[in-house]
Amino acid sequence: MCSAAKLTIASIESQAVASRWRTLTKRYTPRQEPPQGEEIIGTLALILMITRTFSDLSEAMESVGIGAGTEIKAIIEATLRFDDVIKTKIASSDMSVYVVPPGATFTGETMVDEFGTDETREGGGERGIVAGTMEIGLVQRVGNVEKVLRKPKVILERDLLEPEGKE
Amino acid sequence: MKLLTKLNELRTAFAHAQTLSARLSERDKLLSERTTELSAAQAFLTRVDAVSEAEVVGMVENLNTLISSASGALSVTWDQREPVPGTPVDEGGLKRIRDYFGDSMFGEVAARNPVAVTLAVETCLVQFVEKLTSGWGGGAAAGVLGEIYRMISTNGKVDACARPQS
Repeated sequence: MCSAAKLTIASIESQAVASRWRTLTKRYTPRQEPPQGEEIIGTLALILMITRTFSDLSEAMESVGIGAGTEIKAIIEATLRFDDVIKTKIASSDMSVYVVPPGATFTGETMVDEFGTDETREGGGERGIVAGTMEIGLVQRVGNVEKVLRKPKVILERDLLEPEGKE
Repeated sequence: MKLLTKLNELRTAFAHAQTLSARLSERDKLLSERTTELSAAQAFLTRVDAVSEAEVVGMVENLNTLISSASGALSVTWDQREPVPGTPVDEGGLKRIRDYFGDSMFGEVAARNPVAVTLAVETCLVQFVEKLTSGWGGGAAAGVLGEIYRMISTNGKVDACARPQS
């Protein structure tokens, strides 16, 4: 099936046609099985284990499910809706989630520092190392041109080491 | 003599009319061809986006609100409990979390640094959303389809070297 798809689309060259192909393949490629949340609950439970909040993983998972199960379910549902929109309802461009991986170098052009910018914080916000992304960003792409529609919000490693100095 | 002149004028006019008729016929044929081509291309023309850019950004904002809400709900779970000494965590789990954050942040989470723990939870949820939206919906073909689309949208066509070797 995929080989046939490749042959068919090899001659397609415009964004419009690429979008049409993306929409159709997304629409007719059924999700194998909807995520149920166990994976993310398990990961969050591991974090709680590392903080020594629980001594048993199953107890930690149960606690995560009770404490944030509703929110996690809402996140999954919202994510699936978002995924459907960017893959089947947007034809003029490509859109994707923008998440900065831990260890990346901070740049104010494409991300936001949770604790402020050069002008609002001592020491500036540039040249820091990203510890993690706390808010998702959104990138729009047409061909090779990318535009950040919504910058992801990150926390820098140095802010983790000196949390007492922050608001 | 006058009749002969008139006859010549008529002949000239007739020849001109024939030329114009031939040109018109050519234009009609060309118009017909282009109309057919446009009609065929219509199926591939982009429709207006069904959802606006602002609406998509709004969906991202909503996701961020939900992530923050989940993080807040979990902070109650861990912040109000005293640490349990000697809590065992299997090596696979430790590696998984280290892979998520790196050693620096892992150490801060283990030290119960509140900023680090909150960020760890949010980063997990953020990466979960990224993972769910980066594929093509699951199934064996999903990864291949995503890769094909990446090549099309970046290069304009599928790279020949990416074709499977037969």
